[in-house]
Amino acid sequence: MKTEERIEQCLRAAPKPSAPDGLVSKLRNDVSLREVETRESALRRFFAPSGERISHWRVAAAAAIAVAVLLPLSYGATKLIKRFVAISQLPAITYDGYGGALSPDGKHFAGVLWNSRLVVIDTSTGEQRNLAENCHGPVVWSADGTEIAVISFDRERKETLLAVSSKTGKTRTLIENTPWLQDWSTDGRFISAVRTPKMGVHSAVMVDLEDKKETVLAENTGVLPSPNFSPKGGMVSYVTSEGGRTILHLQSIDGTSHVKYTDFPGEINQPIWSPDGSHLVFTGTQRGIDREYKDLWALRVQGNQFAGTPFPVVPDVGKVQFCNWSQNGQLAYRTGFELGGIFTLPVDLQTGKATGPPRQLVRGGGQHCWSPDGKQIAVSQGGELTFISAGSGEKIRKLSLAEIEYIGRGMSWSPDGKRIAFCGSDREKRTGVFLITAETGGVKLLVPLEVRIPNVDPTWAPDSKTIAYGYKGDVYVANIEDGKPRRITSPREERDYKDAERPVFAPDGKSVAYMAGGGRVLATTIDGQETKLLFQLKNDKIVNIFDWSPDGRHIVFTPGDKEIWCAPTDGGEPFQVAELPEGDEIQAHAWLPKWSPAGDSIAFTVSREKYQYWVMENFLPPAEASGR
Amino acid sequence: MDSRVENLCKRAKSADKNAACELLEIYHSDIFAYLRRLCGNRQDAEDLTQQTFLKVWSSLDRFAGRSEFSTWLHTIAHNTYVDWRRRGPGGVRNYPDPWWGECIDTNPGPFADVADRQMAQRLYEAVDQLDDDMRHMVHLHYYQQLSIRQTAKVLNVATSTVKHRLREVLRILRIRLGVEESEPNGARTTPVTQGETT
Repeated sequence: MKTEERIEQCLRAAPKPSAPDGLVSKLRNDVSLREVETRESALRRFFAPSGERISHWRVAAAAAIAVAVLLPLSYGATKLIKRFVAISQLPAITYDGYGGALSPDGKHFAGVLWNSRLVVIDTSTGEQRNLAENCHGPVVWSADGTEIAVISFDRERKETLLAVSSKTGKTRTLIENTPWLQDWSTDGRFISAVRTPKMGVHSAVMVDLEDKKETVLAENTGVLPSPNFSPKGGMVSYVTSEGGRTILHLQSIDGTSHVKYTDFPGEINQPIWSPDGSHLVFTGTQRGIDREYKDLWALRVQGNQFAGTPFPVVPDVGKVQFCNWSQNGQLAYRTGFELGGIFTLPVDLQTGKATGPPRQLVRGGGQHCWSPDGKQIAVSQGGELTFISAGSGEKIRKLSLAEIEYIGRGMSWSPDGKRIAFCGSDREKRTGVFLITAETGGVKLLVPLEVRIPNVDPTWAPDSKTIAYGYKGDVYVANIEDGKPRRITSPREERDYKDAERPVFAPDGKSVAYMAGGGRVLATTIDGQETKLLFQLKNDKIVNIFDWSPDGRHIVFTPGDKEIWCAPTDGGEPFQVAELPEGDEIQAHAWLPKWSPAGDSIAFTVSREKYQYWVMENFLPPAEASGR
Repeated sequence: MDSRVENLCKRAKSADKNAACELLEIYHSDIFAYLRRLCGNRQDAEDLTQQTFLKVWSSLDRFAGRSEFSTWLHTIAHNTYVDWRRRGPGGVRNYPDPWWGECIDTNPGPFADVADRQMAQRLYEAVDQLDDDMRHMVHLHYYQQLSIRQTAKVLNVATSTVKHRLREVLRILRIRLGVEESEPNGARTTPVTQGETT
């Protein structure tokens, strides 16, 4: 039974306090009644003032007032309202997932929650229906609102594009091995999408759903190309970046015409078509203006050409992420902010129990790791590696990570203090495990990896000569001298788990522990010869990510919510160590726990996100809009 | 409306004391339970129940029968409680004593299992700590078994508001109980970057 059903059942079955014995007789004594007079409604009194027959004259007068006064008034009011930009929140949408889109009639909102469920939410009541499991990424409604296109993944992480019935949840396959969905043409025949073979390398593509033929619109676009179909069909728009300038493209689907707008003096992001196809609207930041926030711009489209130049329509829209523009004229978007930071929790090494409340050390911050002496924590923040005092949170020094474009999950400081290992990709689009020299900041790619998003959790051996990392479901170790990797997990056909993920070197350096699904943490010796079960969760928690205590007696893990748990490695029962305080945030979770070298503290990251969904209407100027 | 209750209302409106007493028999325990759970102790609940029915008899002529009698009755009880709270010392909400403590042993409902019963108690505690708006929704819809429409009428809000808030209530209660639903196949956990894979 689902948790919420259990809660509802429990509430409905709440016991009823019994009334005291003498109460009913006391209440009986209070009963005093008087005879009720018959009353007439105001409407009746108006139409039948004499109290008998309805007056025909009065009915006719009421009708005349309605026609002569009320109708023009309402018509004028509607016209008046249409002259103003209408911006309103969708209060019923407390959706905490990625992407999301309004149905063509604006009455529903579909999206994939973080737990991979595709849901449809009623925009007026907030009522939510589950449609499908194991989905991710953006969603797109079909033009008639009967289906929702979404990417589904299976156990092998194979991605299939599905069309899911918005009423029944029934699915049909559109494409196997799908690219990242962006848009679905009005006639239902094409999808536009983005392929990202490497971190930061994008191609805009279009797939014909009839013959499954994929056409590349633009390769290595430099920015997220956001390919979208014009509502009337026939055209597709997308963005590229060339020589530091973003270029807006308008191309016919059959390839017979292709025009570019190259003169926008700044960045063009997420161009989206107005429902009537008359304009492309985008968020833009003009060069030379020192501000983070963006304005909303529009550019008219006539036939297969751009008409005129972009003009600003709404200033300072902030950090908005467009969802979609529904056929009923509502541009839906998400706005919000992310909070959080690095926290530390004092613990007793012997018992693994907390000895005090968690304390925020620094705001923001992503990946982090302890220095070998436990006095500092290195934190990745805004293109820099910041070293902060583990006691006070005070910033000690910084190293630039200007060569690095993306830092993935997992950061580890070598026990000899010389290097910090992390994973990610650099500006040359090389992806893999990198080492940064802790003193000088020199960066070196140790193990190049072919992976779309490098989250490989590098972890140091105690001798500082070897690192382990997880890659495509296996755990590898690599010597730092030559960077040559060696797989230590058994071949897939010989093991009873699917993926080995998020490895952590054992404190004695003899083995590497990793998550093996089903709440299991296994440990394999570095020669790959022996694997043992380190612990297995028997409660309903999941192991999201973990770390080993320095004495090897405990494992700290986060289940992906507000809690931090600890499990003895000798088979004892896991227990909760700490919980984040309750707040209004839609999402707040603790993760990336890292046990300090001295064992007296656990550092962890808290992510908090709060988003709101809004719609904007009537923001294109009337003169422009009338040209449609 | 139940035809028997409808009939009793008509008769009570015509100053039939027996009919009024029958209505009392039917509803007094519901209203007492409602107020007992809300106001925190038996003595105040008794007083408020008495005040509620006094208002019922004095305003019965204004009951036009457009809503069900029980909805109207709960509206009066709700307003009586709200007035009482407003008049209380500083208008501060006192968290009630655990009403379930006096009846859970004799009426454990489906939760015969100790763990389930403890969960139920934690749940009732969590409900009492909700904001007023949400707490009233739970009391009326779940404890008093009023429909969404009836609950909306009592609280004078739209039915969509009730639905939305009840959804929110369940989400909050689930978080406060610290209960997470298990993931399908453990396949997906908290995303680090959307769409992450390795």
